[in-house]
Amino acid sequence: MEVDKGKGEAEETRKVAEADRDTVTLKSSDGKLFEVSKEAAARLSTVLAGMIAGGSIDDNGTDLKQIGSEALENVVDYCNKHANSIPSAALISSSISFNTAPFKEPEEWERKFVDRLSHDALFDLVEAANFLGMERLLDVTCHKISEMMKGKSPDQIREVFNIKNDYTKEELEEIRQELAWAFYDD
Amino acid sequence: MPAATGRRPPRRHSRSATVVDAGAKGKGILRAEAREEKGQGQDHISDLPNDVLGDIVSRLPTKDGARTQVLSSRWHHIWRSAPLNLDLRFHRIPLSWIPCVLSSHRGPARCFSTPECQWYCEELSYSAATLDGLQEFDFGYDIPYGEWGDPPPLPASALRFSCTLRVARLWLCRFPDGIGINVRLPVLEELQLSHCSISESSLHALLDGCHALQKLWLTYNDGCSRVRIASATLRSIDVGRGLGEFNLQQVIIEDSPCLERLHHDRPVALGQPKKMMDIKVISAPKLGILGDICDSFPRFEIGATVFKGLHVSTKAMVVHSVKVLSLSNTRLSLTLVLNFMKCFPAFIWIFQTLLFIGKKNVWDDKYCNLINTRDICLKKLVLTNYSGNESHVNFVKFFVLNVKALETIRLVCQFTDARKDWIERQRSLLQF
Repeated sequence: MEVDKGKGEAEETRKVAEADRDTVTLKSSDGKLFEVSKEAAARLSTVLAGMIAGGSIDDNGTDLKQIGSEALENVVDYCNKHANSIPSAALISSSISFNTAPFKEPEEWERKFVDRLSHDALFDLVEAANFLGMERLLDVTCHKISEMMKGKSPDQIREVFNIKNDYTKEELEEIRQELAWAFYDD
Repeated sequence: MPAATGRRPPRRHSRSATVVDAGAKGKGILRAEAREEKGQGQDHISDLPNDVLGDIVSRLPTKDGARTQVLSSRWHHIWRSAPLNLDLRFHRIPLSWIPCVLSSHRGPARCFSTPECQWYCEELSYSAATLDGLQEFDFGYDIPYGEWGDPPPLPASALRFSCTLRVARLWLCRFPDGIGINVRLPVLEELQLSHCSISESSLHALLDGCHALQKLWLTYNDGCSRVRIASATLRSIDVGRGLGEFNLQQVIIEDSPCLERLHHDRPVALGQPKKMMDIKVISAPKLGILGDICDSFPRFEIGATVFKGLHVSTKAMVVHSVKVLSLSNTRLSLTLVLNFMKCFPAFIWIFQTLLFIGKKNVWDDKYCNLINTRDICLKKLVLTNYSGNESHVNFVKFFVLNVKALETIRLVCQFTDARKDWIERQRSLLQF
């Protein structure tokens, strides 16, 4: 492969400059640019970490064509908040108390972060987190969704999430009988 | 990074970048378009990938999780294919139904958590194939407070899960002597022992068997007065002294290169032990979060620096790694804190349980000479139990006026009726 020497050097210089920056620029599907802390991005997203390590971060905005600007804004907001979050809460209250549920509980700011999202934005964020391999953000968003389902009847869940029941009456009855233990108090 | 990498056209050679491109016309966009057409009322949740749906379902209480099967055909197999969450502590299921649960979900199980009796654990659940591959195990006996001093033994069959466990939380049970010997917990990341009875040799044997441990809680246990911790993987340790006769009195942290957080827990509702424990940190170069340091610590050592209570007894070095430090004290004085700060130039300080009995914390310029205030790189200050008395005001004002690096101060009041005029008055007193 022929490589134009001059161009190669220029790219190398740019690469050094890029390595020195402590932010990376991400570009949403609709072309909007967002800056995010490089350290937080690499720590929180396996995909971004891979891109940073592999040198495939574009200084003019790395294309993330799967993610819309609203979701990407939330992703970036989350990363930056994470980078600046003060672990004081972790210090004071993270010690698992005697009665903690077995999953990693979101921290207070993470809870607030997902609570303010609209229904649509929440699901866009879950998909973005899944796509970018952001385990912690996926944890936080899935936790929120499970909270929305907890203690609700199937009918209530269908209503909240607009799920269309496509079972026949007979099919439904069969499943309910198999799961009698789960419906014993209905 | 070799020079050749720099010449690569961006994005073409990176595996992750390829993923991005391949997904360019993915569902996210399509869905956004669909939403524009139909407006509200879209079923977003059923569009999520199977493993994400499985993650959501296995966070639900067992019964709620199983019931998701009736939502629609999309959901029919989700619960069965996701790990079973058998958390019976908060959402109890009648014992007679448990065999049905275990037969309708063939496993593996993510979480098994129970307060129930020994019969339940030994005869039934432990033998079920569903529990193979268990990742989270949460077990403790539901016994009255009067019997906490002598809890029943951990069933030996619990060791069956040792190879696959990632999280183990054990409370109110007794480790029969020698139980930890030869146990290997190759993937265990989190271990919590609370209100357990365990001997020093069993505890050390148990810790020796953990090769991936990142978080450790040893709180309010009995039977072991001293623990030595040396781990290449541990990142966070919580310790708390119990109330029993042989409670934990000394914690020695030896070579722990990854340790980031060390937290000392004080028992809250169970009464205060007369003495805190001795803590000695020999080598933890990454230790960034440290607390609660109390005035009742008989001895706290970090490296060659020794504290007795909050008094610096031997100052041999400055601990630069610590970025967040939390202090609990009833009679916190400015002099004490400034002396302390010379050892820990932490960015964030948190003061808890401030009462300031009998000290006014009056200061003048000589205080500024005590410590070169320009050297304090404190960025954030948090005070809980702030009541706005003279002592508190003087304390906070010192930092407001003398520490240039300070960015935020958070004052937490105990009373709820803080009126606007009170807040305004505090602002002016503190010269905000």
